[in-house]
Amino acid sequence: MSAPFLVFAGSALLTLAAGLLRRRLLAAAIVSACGAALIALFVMMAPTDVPISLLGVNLKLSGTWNVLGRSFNLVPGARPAVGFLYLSGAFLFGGGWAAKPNRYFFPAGIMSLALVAGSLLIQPFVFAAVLLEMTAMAAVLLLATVEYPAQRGGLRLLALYTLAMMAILLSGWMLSIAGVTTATPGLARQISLLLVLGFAVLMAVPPFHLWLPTAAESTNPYALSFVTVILQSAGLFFLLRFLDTYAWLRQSPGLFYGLRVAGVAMVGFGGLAALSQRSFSKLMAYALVADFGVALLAVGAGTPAGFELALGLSAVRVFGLGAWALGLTVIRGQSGRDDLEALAGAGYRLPLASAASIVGVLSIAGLPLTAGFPARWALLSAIAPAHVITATTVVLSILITSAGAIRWIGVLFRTVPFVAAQVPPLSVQILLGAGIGLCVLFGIFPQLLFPWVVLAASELANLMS
Amino acid sequence: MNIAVEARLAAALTCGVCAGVIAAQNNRRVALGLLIVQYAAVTLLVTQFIPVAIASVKLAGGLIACSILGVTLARLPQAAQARGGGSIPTGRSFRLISVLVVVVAGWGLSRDRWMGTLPLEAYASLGSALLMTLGLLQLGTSDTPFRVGLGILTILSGFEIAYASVEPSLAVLALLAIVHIGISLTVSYLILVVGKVNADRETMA
Repeated sequence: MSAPFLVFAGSALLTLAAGLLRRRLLAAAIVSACGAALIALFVMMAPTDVPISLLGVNLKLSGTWNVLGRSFNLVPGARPAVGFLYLSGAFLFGGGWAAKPNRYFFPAGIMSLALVAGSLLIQPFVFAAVLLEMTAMAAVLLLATVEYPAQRGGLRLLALYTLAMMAILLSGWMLSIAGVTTATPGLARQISLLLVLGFAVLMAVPPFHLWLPTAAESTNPYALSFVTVILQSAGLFFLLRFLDTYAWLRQSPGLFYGLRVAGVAMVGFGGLAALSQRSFSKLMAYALVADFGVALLAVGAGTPAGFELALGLSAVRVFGLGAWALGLTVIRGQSGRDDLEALAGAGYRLPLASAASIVGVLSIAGLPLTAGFPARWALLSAIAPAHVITATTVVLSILITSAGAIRWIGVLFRTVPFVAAQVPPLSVQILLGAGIGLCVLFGIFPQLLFPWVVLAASELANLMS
Repeated sequence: MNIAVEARLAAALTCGVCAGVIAAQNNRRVALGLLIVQYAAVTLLVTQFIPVAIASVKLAGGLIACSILGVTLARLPQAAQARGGGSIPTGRSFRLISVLVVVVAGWGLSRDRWMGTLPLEAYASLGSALLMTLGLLQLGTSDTPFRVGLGILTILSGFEIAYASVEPSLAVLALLAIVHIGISLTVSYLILVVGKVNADRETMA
């Protein structure tokens, strides 16, 4: 029996169970969250290729599963990434029922997790691009639903991921056949161009970010958060794996400089666009573009600390996005829209939901005392002496995006004629409170989270050496 | 399999004609019929690099994708079927000229080896370049799920001709065939489920 097979079989069973429970959101959420957490534990802890005794039965789990000449390998390097994705899924599924997503949110969500896990386990790993394309298809089912019948964001996502898949597949072939080394700069440049196109799509580098604000405008915020966490994390893991595998890529003179330039552009563009939005969802979409930009700046530092911090930013993003999405879903459930006029005074009607959504945005912006700040502070400490422009950009990203969020505090607490709102159930209030609490907790005590990130990063042996 | 030069040229030209007509006209059923012909031409071009039995996976995948889209179109209300359209610049002459310009660009691109690396035969290169450029045109000038879906499938078909020359394994073919089917399923979902809700809302308004 092989461990990757068990992961996929478990995910398939979980998808089936969540599908059968689709009309009972709470039950589906509990089953999905517990199942995803169990799979995460299995991925991180299951001993492979050594004999074990379970209830008196001697077993040996293989770490490899071969399918049609390709293999899925649960190697130590992939375990933390896959485990992180399933844990993120478990966290978001746990609160998902309160956001009243589409009834296919849970089965489609688990399917997405399994596909992303496949993309991290497959060998040769360039075929991960095909599985990421399939993840994008599942993401479309999450973004466009009967309740939120918006097609454009999903269509753009599908088109962009198809282009990325083609670019990565082609560059993967060139890498495996052409034998690129640091001594073949011409060939390396050609492959780099293709890789830049592929990863620009995966990392939502403008103008390939276009699906995000379009989808944010007319999608359930919680579904958008889930899709963003999954796709973005997968893109980052994929990028780091490429860097870890190919020495010539790591040693390309312009690579890390190019990443920093892209990061600066994303932070500037995302931050300024966030500042000018009239829709709360689009504010978050652009704040995310700026946040992804900071992650690229961290990778662009080209140091072990930078790679760890990029992973750390991915981890804390889950909490900020979850709190924001749940808060906004509650508010939007009563106001119907999320523009300036509709949300005016919502802070008085729904204080906890408003607080959760604002704390979520501030965490993504990286304001001090929120979960997003420690990684940025550590990044500043790591890069400030050598990369002044990058460090300044990180500070500006915090200031500009936070200013955008603070503008919305003014909107939410604007004095308007009071209209009583339906108070959310106690269970939803507890979830909102927990979302705020986690954002603040990891902002004050980052040491609770970052040792796990360091452990995950340590598996990227070549990058960390 | 060695197929005649004339057959390869005909297949490459068929790819270009089908993708060009799909981009230039509005009728959904005609577009779907042309997509089937396009898949057959792509399969013929691919048989230069891989055995016919394996290449048939590509044709089968394409036919399943077309069937899914066909069933979806059949389930649409008559009014929606007749509406067709979905291209952003609606003028026929504009689209015809843009198709011609893109065909010339595609022909020009096909004359060079792919980034100087892919050992692609001339007609396969022509078919591949025409499909990718015309697919991109379709993608850039459409905003409805059906037409965007056709654009994505066309680009992917063009890419597969080139990719089959370097990666002729069954596993890759099967994976890419699944991608074709997945795209058509996703597009069908958007057309039927989401499109119906939008249509109902328009009716109520």
